[in-house]
Amino acid sequence: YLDMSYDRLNDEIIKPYEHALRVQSALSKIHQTSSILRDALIFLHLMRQITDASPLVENDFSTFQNALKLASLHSQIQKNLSGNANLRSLRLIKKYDAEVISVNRQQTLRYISDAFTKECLNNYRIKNNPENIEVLGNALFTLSQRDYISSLDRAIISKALSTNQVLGKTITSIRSFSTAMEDASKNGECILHLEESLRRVPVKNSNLMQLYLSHKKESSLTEIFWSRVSRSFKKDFEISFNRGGPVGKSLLNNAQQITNDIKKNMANLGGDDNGNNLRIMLQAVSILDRQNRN
Amino acid sequence: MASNDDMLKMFFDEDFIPQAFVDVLLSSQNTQLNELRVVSSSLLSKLDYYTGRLTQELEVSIENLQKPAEPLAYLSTA
Repeated sequence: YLDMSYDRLNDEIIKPYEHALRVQSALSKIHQTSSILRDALIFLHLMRQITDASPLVENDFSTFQNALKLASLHSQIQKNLSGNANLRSLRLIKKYDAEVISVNRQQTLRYISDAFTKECLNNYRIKNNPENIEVLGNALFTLSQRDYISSLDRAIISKALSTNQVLGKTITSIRSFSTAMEDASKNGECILHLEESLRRVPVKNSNLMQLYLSHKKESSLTEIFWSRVSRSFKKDFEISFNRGGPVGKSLLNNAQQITNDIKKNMANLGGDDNGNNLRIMLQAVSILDRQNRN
Repeated sequence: MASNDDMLKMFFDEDFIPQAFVDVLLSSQNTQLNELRVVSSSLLSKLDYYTGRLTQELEVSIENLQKPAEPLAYLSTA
């Protein structure tokens, strides 16, 4: 056997080995071809579902549900595109991604973030139709986590702003402070409902509220709201107080009343952060305490 | 459609690039999506068929490769 002729070696080992290599390489090319083709078909299938979806026009619950379906279709198609790097370089896919998918995604995102922000500012619907916030929050988060966070930020900021406009006006006629404080705590209560609704929406083994708060230093949505209201009211309050004159004097004379109005209106607000929020709001008028002591 | 052998032969071509092939295939259907789906699905089933056939052939080649080794192994233990 030692002088096994080269031909026999060639026939029995080298040739079958080379043949096996060629077959193996063909197999892998077939596999790559079918995997790219399959991913392309998935893209086209998802695209058709997106274009077949009814347009988002109305502001009602069934439209919000369609928005959620559309958001998850978009998130699936993004996963499909990022799953196979070659997909995006196919001319047909690139064309549809630019002309159809991206355009639809922008429109969907605009509709959802507008609708979501509007719901967040609608005290009546927050209390009576929390399902709207839950579906829209979920849809917005699915489509773009960044936009979900910035939309919720915007809602809180404008809620605090409108609250401060009401509160700020009463500084020069402090007797109307009590009703203004009532409005403020109503807004605070709605923020609490908003927080509870978003907490009910499970996402990535957490929930929509927890994920939002993970980006914030505060520990609750109500704390974010009351901190903003208190900071801004404190500024206006102290300017008027330090200016003295009739307004300054009336603030001083009504110090007790002002503190009671804050305590009375915030006392019955729920939420485990409420004690802390009351302390935060009382800081806005803390200048009154310093005066009384000396 | 090329006869079966031509199609299969294509995958044995050294400079065949799956990516480019699919790109041309998809762009050539002048974006008739239904047409595209039909063509692609039939191609996919053909590729599955080829995969089955070539896998068998590969197994046979490997068996052939193992056969001559036995007597040598026998020789070394004698």
